[in-house]
Amino acid sequence: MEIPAIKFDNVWKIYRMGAVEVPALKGLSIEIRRGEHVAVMGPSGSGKSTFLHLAGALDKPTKGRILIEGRDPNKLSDGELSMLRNKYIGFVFQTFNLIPRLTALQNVMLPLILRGVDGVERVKRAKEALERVGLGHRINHRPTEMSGGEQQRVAMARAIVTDPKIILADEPTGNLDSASAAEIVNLLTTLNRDLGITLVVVTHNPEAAAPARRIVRIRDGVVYEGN
Amino acid sequence: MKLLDILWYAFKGLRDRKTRSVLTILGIAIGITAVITLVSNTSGFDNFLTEVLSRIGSNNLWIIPTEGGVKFTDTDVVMLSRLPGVRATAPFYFQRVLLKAGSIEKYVNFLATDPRVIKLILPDLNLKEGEPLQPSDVALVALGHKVANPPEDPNKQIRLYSSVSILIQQSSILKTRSFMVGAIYDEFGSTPYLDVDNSILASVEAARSLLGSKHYPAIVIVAESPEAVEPLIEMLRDMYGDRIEIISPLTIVRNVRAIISNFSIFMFVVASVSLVVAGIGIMNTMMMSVMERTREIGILRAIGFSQRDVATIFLAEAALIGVIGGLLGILLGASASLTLGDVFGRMFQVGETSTRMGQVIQISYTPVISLNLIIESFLFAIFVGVFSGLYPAMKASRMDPVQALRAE
Repeated sequence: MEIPAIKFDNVWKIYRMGAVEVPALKGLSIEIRRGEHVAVMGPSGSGKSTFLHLAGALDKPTKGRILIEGRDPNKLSDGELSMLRNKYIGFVFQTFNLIPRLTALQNVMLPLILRGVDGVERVKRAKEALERVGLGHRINHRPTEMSGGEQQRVAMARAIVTDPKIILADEPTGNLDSASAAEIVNLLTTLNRDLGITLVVVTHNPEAAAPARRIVRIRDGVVYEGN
Repeated sequence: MKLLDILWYAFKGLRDRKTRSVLTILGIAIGITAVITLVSNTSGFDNFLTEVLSRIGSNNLWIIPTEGGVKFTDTDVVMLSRLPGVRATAPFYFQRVLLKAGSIEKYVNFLATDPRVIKLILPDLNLKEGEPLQPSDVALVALGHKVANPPEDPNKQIRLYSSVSILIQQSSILKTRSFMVGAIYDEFGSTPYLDVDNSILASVEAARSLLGSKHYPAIVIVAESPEAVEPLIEMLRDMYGDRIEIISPLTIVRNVRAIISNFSIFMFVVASVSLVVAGIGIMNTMMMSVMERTREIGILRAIGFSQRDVATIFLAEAALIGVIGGLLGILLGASASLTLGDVFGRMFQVGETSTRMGQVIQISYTPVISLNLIIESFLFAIFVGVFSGLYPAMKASRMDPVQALRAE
């Protein structure tokens, strides 16, 4: 049987706010196959961001089992988890999350620098990634000199520069005008289709969710539709 | 992550907050400057003292009657020579006199004692011309290098076997006596108390005939070893009480050394405090940086930076502050040491104006900036940086990535 890209098995995530326990996920189960394009929708506070953070190995579940490319985050050390993120996962955030003092090229190179890829090679790969998102001409600009759409494309270049297996996008169009939003959705869809990268998009925006082959709806910490 | 990349990222971080970084770096630089200036000057001064001590002869001491005190006679000289630990004693005259020789007329020191003792007090004093003085030489004197060759006028020299007149003021009478130059010494260099180069040396007999007094103005005692000096001083105090003043280069240099060492402890505390303050400055800067860059820490974690990688980056930034501050401090410290050497020299000047032998110790020393000092202060600067960066770096690395990403 093929190993799924992401598998959640009765996953609970409970946050502790002082003495109060706030459950964000209440036994969520889902399986996302490799190469799938999934949109995750749901109202605010439904637990979709928590789902994304757990799927991206940024956090560990309180209960239940998660497998990311066959690896169980609960059994990994911080170093191993970080390596898992670097190797398999690319994040795209609503607020772009670029490092302001670095140029587009440097931002995209950062995951390669962490890996110890040498200078010539990482510049080459970062340039390729920027060209793929259509920003080959703006590599030496800083985020502050770029539009929202351009910044999000830099973020996407950063996400794909490591050849990840999975891209996790958290409201990728949330801060963009509709034209830029459409471009980003297009680009994400292309990456999924052409490179076979598993794509999970968490969104409120029906247009961002439309190209997905499967739409999963989360409410009150469980999947109620799309499993 | 490669070291060079870590440094690149750290440097970018520092450059991003230029003013704050510069001020923090300055804090470290000032601390290191203080340490280098202090240590180089103290060791330079210490070298100077050691050299002085070796030249003046650390086992000599002089006793001089206080106002209305004892009157030294041959009995004292003989009695003192029998004290344990004494190698030799001799009467000692030291006086400013007016020298006349041809067109030369200037004030010089007149220094008279047993010629055999001269070799013991000033072992490095060598004859250039003529014959060594003898105890019986009543009409001969020996000239110090600068007396025979006045530095202010190279054409006016006093030659061997020429005649010189020495004038002294006694009460209201001006006494004159002529001597023949029997010897001229090589240059000796400056020493505390005995500026031999500007002196005329004579035998006790010659001094007696010039000054006419039966009493000796001072007695020089040569101890067998520097260790014998302190017990001798105690014995002299027991014998003469407050009626004499005792001058010993050894004890004076020791006292000066003690003052210097106390002073340097105080300065070292000040320098250390400034480095502690600089360290707190680094910690403060780094803490602020960690707070302000919470979001960035979240981004780095999402990209795959481990807790250790994040800690390394912040530690590298703190260390870089130490490195730059250290280098700057070494440069500033080295130039400050060299320029301040003079100022310190004047500050530490020691005068013995209460005695007729009173002459200021001429302090001229070169601060010692050793390679060790440079390396140690550099490493210390890095240590202060890294140590102050530990807590902020730990704080940064322990941040929850999810919370960090949500930070504004």
